[in-house]
Amino acid sequence: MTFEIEWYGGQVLNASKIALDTASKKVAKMVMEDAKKILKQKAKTTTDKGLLSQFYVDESLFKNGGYLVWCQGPKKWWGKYHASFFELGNVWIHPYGNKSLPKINLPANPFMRPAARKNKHKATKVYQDSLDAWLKAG
Amino acid sequence: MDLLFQAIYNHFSATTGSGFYNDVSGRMYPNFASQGASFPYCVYFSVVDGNDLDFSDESEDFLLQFNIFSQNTSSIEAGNLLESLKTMFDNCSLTVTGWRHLQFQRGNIYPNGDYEQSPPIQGYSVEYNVLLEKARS
Repeated sequence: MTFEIEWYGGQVLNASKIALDTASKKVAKMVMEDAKKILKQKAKTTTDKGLLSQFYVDESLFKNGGYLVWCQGPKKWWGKYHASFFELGNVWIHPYGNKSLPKINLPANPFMRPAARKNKHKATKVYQDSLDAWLKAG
Repeated sequence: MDLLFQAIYNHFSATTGSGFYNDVSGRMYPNFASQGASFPYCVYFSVVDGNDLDFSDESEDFLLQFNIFSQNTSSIEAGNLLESLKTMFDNCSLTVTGWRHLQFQRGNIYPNGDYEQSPPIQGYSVEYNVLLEKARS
């Protein structure tokens, strides 16, 4: 005599994955919004121009890679993708490689890593809430 | 944070004849380098600092970054600077006035050069997680 239980593991796993995927996207958006806020504060501006207009959230191309928060520089032919220089700091003898501009040293103005760290604990709560809501909904 | 920066600089300048201090000729600057600073040099700053409390203690959890820059057609100088920075600061013990120093652990390392300059700038950004603790007042 055999006794079988159909536990629908595959369906449960897929459904929970969708719930977690939605939560991941939400966390990425939270990080993005905070990164923008920090950058605005450091740049002393209220408008979404320049680097501030270059933020977006995208799904990773890697399997189970989650979501990525992107920020790059102005997409002009002479421009560098300078967001990483802004985040990490660098030496720019001539900004954008333009030798007619004055020489500068570029101190770091981190905005991505502070935003990611700020949301570290909130992220756990978002995942927890998302799974709770999914379980309650059956 | 000033106390931590001071402790880092004291640790850096404790050995002047060899090691990282000698390799950058004493040029390690807090937050930013002056215009026209000679190469090679190092800049250190706090990326983010979190404060935490429990029943008896207060802790400060820093993410610090060290940027090292060399202007050289060869990447050897920058590579050597990276190694001597690691030798000096990996898991080092600091004396931070008023705080117990618990951790100085290296995190990510990013190549951070500007190869369009002539000669090119070769550099690295090195992250350290630093944990300090003291009794709550």
